[in-house]
Amino acid sequence: MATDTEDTDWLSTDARLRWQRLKGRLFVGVLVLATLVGVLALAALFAYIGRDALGPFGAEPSWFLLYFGTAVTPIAAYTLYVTGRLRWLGDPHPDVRTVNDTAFAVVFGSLVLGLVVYAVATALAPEDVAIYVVCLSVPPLLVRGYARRYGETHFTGPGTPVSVLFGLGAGVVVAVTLGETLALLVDWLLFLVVVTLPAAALLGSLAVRRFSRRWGYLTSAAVLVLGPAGAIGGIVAGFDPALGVVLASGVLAPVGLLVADTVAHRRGGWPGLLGPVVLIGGVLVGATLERSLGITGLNSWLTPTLVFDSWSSTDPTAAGIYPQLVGSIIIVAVMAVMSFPVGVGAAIYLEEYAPETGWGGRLATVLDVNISNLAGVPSVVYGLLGLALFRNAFGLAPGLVITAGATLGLLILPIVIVAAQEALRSVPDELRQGSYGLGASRWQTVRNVVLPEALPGMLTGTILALGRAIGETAPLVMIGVAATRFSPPEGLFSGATALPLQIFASAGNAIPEYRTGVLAAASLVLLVTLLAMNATAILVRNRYENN
Amino acid sequence: MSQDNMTDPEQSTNATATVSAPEVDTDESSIDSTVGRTVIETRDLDVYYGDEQALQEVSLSIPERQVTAMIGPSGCGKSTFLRCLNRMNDLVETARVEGEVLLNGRNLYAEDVDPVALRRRIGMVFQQPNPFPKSIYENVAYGRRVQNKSVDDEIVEQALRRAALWDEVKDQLDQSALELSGGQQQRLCIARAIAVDPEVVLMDEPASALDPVATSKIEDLIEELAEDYTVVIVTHNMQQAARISDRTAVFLTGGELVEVGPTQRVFENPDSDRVEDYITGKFG
Repeated sequence: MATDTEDTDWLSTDARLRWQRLKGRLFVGVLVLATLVGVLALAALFAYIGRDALGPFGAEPSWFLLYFGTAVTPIAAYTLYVTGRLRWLGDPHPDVRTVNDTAFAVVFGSLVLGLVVYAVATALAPEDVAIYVVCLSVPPLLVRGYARRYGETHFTGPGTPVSVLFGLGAGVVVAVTLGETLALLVDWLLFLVVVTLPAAALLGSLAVRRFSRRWGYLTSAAVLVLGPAGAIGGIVAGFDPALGVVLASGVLAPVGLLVADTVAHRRGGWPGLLGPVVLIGGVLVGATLERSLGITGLNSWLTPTLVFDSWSSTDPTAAGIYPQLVGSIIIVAVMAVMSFPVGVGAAIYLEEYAPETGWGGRLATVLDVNISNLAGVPSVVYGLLGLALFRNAFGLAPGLVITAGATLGLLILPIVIVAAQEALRSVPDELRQGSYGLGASRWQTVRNVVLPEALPGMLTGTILALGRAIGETAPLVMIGVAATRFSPPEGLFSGATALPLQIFASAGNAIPEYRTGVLAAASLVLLVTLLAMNATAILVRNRYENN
Repeated sequence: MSQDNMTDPEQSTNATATVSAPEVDTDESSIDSTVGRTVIETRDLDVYYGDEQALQEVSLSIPERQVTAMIGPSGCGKSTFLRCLNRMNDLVETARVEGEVLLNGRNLYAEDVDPVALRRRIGMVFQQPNPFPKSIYENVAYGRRVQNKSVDDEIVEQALRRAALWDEVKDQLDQSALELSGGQQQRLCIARAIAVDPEVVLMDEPASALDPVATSKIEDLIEELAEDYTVVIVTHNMQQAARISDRTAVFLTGGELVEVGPTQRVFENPDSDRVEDYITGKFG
């Protein structure tokens, strides 16, 4: 007890305060431990898969030294420069970072998208994809053009989805009647329709916005020339001319536009363009030197054979997962098409329209709670649902792409709904009020103010949900999807196949290399796919948050 | 009960005072000689949120092309009153409105009145600046677009000029409205509201989230707007009401309208002792 004379005694720490502080530190220690357990588990998983899939211990020390010199060091130096930590080089122009981010997104985004479109369209038959691209895009464009020309919005607004449905019907008819005739055309001509035309339209409109109308037309024309040029390049260089079309108009063209845009609007940010060059160049130089110097590299199972060939269950070095990878991508696309509109629609109803009071309100609350419950239902149960619904009730054959996509679409539907609800809830109410105050109807408010604000959040949530579903195995087993197919699915009503199923199946192979090497490498491919999807989600979110 | 007894006579005198406003006001001061036609009139307006009554039998008339200010302590129902005038309370499911609000003699709460059509005639500016996350141009154009009215550069420029914002933003119409300062955002919201050419502009504490410089700009603007529009403004700032309004209505706790009249008279010589206490700062 302090006496009255020592009236500043209370300032010093007493035993009780010390004990409180100790408790606080102990608590923080426990929290750090808990975090470390999670991080270490992840690190162990990646180390294990990485060791088995890539075989880093088979490489000579000089291999590591080589890539350290050609790839790791330049990339590290470049990153330090861009983030402004290399002081002696002077501070980078403020635009460098933006340009660098955009450059990485454009180069790798267009590369991945182009290759996926190439793989999927080749699998599904390019003539069908070309027919649907035309039939699904022309009617809504005509409606939009009419709306703009005559300033009419009363009927053209609802007319747009109707025209899409009309296009879908027309597509089916055209595919049945003209499909076989069009199939006689060489593939690269069809890829001009699938990739070059949309790229010309997209990049053209982008150039109109960034430069001027005239440059927009010129850009479109340039893309239209690049497409056939890519095909000729492919014929001359001896690879698939269709791939040449995709690379020229789907990858080279956007990169070219990026360079032009940087020169015109962000001249000071040009060093940002070097990022992808440093990365790709470093790896290429390393690979060239590795071969010419005869250095023993990784003892990797992640080989071109694994990624681009089909399965072999007797020779692990010849086993490939190309059909499964493409099959998974097609299933993801079907899932997205099925779950996004339905999920977003349900979320909009529940958040924006459902009554809050009375019987309607009670019903809405019941729906709300049960959707959250659905999100937690085990995936194998969804498999059962798919089996009951598509196989037994509709009588469809087992393991079709459409049933696999629809089953997994149902699986992620509640997650998509909840994510979309969150996104809608995060739109400030003041914006809705402002819109109503200007005499907008509820639909106008939702359409023009709420949805544009909520869309990035919806997209992010959907992509993350799709990422979760791409690894699902149990429901696919339940509905009878085959693990091993030797070619990718040819259409929605063809037999599906998926990467996680093949991984699951190869775990039981008698040859040990399957269980150690192939399995790990296939898992790595799955993980990289997943990470790419998550990265897309993060990019979408960041891009809109900055705006 | 005793309170009810106290309020009743006051309310009835207010009601008579407002109904016969033109004659009474011309006698009182020079400002009131300009009192024009009544645009909005409320009769025995009661509002309930669930079981809670937010407004008690408010009868008030709002003259054309003047600034009418609603003042009173927080929770006195002044914002609720404002939101009855363009039926924004319809958006609150628990809200229930009884009584009449007449716009040019027509009851806004009649069955055949479409609240969306009504809000196209009565614009509103909110407490927090709430521009849409679109370009400045699109913010101004938004109201006209949703109302299917023509949009051209001249209309947008005109609205921005009237909101005293044109000179500051004329070179950046394509930029996001969110990049503007708070005061500019609020003036943009005013431009957005007047771009659709409404008859009445409602303002719910339009300057309370702004700094003094931005506030004084908004106040100047409100006085100018009253040349073309009927302005109804809610404010908790009595000096502001005294500076910019032609008429003032004082709401006190419980949602009762205690006094209404020409601003100068209400502030200098209020009828009610409670209003005098409130204005001189004895409570509220």
